[in-house]
Amino acid sequence: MKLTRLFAGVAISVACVAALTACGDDSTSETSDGVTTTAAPAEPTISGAWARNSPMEVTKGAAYMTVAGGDVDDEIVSASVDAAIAETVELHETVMVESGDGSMGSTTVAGGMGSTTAAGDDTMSSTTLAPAMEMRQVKSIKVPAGEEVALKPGGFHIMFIDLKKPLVIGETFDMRVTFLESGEQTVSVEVKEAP
Amino acid sequence: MTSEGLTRRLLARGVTALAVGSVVVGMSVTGGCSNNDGSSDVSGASRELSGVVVRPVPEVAALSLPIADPESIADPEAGSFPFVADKDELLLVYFGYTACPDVCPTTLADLKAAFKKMGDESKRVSVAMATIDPRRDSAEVISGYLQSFVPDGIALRTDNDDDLREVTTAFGASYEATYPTQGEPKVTHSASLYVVDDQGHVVLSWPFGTTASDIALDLEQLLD
Repeated sequence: MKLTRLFAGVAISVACVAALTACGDDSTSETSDGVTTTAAPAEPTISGAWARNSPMEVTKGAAYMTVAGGDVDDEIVSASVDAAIAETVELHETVMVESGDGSMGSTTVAGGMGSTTAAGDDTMSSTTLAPAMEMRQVKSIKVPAGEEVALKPGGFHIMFIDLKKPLVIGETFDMRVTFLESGEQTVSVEVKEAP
Repeated sequence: MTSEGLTRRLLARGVTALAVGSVVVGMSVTGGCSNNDGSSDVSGASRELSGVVVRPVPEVAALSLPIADPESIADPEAGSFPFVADKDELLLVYFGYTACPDVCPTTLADLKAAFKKMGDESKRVSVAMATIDPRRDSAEVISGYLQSFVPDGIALRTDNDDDLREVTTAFGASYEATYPTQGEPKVTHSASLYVVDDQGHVVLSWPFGTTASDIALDLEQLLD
């Protein structure tokens, strides 16, 4: 973990230096430590990849991670794992469907939301009903240059559709994450109960 | 304990700056009803409970759902499960489904962590989870799923959508599942965890993302 952090730190500082010097005309850049870096643009850096352990009964799972953007805008376009773990891996996002903000849309909302008067009460502008959550498949997860993107519960995640066996706490497995610009990276995913 | 008694107790326990008779409100919520009594504009500054208090308090004691797998709990003769806690205890109710890899296990894992923090006090809190996806969640699957997080959790399941809808509506919860001929079913559901007291009143709910610590503190406060 320390190594990962160190690596991430170096990557970020390289990215920062690169960003700082982007407007200059130096073809080489120098970090504050005096280390000359290569001219190759830094790739996005993945850290803290983990997947929640899965109960025996289920064939769905999810993995999360933090991605530090590289020198250029990039996006995660796919992920895969060994077929012994899951054959189908998709990018997903959990979104909150605001059921009580007056824009009820076509969603069937139980709970007496037939009346829209609730939305008119100033004291409940933020929430009326418990918001509904919905999981959607996404084509890609954007990783802008120099920005950190968190794949975390309740947001973006990598979903395993057809787990071949339960994910057991303490185990690790490799996951290949493919970026549009910078290509594929393999990360080790740790199975645990919580982040 | 009645909800009035509960409210008094909460007031006595330091929910300060509330006028007597005003309503304890976490985030002010009507529970979808239009007859807001106008007394819910309590400043959030005095809030102590992390969860959401709904007014008027939903009453669910008269409702029940079939126990998914009676063999998996202590009372194999039990048929349906009423939404009311045992005396001086609390019942937590969750509406979810097992093909939910993100939100549902996150909430249940947070709950498990909250119980761990609470120690023995957590024995006064029981947990029921009703599947909103009975097409895919068999009785055994939903029971095993819940019990992997909460060993003595009681899974509920009905194929009768009207019955399920009646219950979720009473809680102020919602769900919608569509099953396309191709591809993954699409399921939308409110991801709150509801707290029911021994009168069958829904006294609190936690939106998705409430931390284990906040859940534990709220439960300890409500049980006190």
